[in-house]
Amino acid sequence: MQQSNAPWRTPALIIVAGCLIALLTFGVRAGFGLFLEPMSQDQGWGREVFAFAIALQNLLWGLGQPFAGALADRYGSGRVLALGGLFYGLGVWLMAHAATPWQLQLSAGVLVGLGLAGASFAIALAAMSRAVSEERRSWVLGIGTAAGSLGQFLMVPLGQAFLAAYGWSTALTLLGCGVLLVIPLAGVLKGRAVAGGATSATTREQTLGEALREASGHGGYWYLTSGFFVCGFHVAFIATHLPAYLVDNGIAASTAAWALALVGLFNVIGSYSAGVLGGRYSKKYLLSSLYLTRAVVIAVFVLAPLSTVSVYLFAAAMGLLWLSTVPLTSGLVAQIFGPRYMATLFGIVFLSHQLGAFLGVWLGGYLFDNTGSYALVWWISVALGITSAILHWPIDERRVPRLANAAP
Amino acid sequence: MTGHRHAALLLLAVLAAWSLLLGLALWQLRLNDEQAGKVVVLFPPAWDAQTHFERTLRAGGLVVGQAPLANLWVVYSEQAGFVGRLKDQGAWIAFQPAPFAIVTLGGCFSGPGALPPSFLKTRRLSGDRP
Repeated sequence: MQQSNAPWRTPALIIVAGCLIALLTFGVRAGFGLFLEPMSQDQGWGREVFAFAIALQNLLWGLGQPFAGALADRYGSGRVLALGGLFYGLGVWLMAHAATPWQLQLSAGVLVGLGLAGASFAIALAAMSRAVSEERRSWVLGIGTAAGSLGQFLMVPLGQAFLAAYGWSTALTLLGCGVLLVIPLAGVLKGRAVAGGATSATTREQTLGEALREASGHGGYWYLTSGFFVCGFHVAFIATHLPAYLVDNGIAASTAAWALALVGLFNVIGSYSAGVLGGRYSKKYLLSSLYLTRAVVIAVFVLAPLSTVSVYLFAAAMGLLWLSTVPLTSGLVAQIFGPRYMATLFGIVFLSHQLGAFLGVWLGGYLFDNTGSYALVWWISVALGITSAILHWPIDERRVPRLANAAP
Repeated sequence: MTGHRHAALLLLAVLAAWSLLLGLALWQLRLNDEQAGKVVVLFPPAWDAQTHFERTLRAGGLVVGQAPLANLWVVYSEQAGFVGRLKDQGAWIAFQPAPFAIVTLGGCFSGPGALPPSFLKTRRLSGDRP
């Protein structure tokens, strides 16, 4: 399976462009939280205005991802990435000029949310995976995910420096201009998945509807989708509530902040390593091990005496396990169903992740308010980790008969 | 693109571009010699913490706290020309404190990437251990 490429669009160039797109789109949104206080104060808004816009953004990103994936599979990744980059950049730029709550919700919420769906790494990963052979695919998914993780790690301090040096409005304008770089980069990923090689005879005939029916009839696809829900739950709960949990228990706020920074740093290593390992070992067993390890790490963390050292160890371990699910999950989708409709199929799996993320953030706050403790959510996280490990174990990761029969 | 070496090269290129942009923004934030108040000061990395404290005191200031790096300190003085005096004592450069607040990272695909410090302060201190 190859993209229809001009000669200059070499796999190396496609990978570099895809990584930069993942880095920019993931990174810029990671710093939005920095703007909550200055924007709310300057505009005289309550924090719920900003929070609602970001919640709307996440919702639209998740809901829009399968549709953006379908458009990318139908009309080409480059076009969808470019349109997404335009929406995203325009949204950030308009956010810089938002004077009323509804303007913020339209820009930071609707435009950025739809932009993320079109320009996020899910589309870029699919395009990157088509540029290389099956043997290299897991590595490519790993490096693409690591680039997104690196973006999160690097863009937040950069956003903060911009914010301090130029003020929130100019800082957002600069970040918006940065996002617009996605448009020329998308030109490198131009091209629609076309059939090629040994699978051409059968793959060319498959339509999007057939691909969806095929996936929905495959038990492994449902297991993957359910398992990725747990990933979203874990990371969103921890990223949002860990600082408050630590401060509540007498750990310094700076330690809490460093803990999340450590998560970010180890996340880059974990994502890349998962991609490499996924090329050598069974992805489903790696995913099972990963979710089980998450459950063990969380259980040990909540049972062991809390200290600065235990916090840093937890952060490093969770960082290694953080987005390492992405190259393995997306890689399994491509491995089982082929890369032709990967953007759509992984987009649906990703929607499940976003629902898990929503529940993780919301349930964490809800249960804390009602029980005065995060204890229950921590143990729910452990149970979900074990459940996800069990769910991944029976996945049949062989190629579907359509692809297997067409193989030489 | 054949492997880890190329990934490392890409990482280095990204880090170089990032350092350049961050450097430009920090250069905008440097304080001139006449300024005073709470500032973040960068001392030579070879000096120990005691030397940092002594040099700050000699410049007529107080150490308020430590920034993310060992040779980066938050110091304070109301006397005009504080930044200049710090430089006379060997400090390399001084900045506004804002960009050096340790920030949190956005979590995966979740909500706002950073919790404002005031949010953390408002959480009640309770025995919240499972």
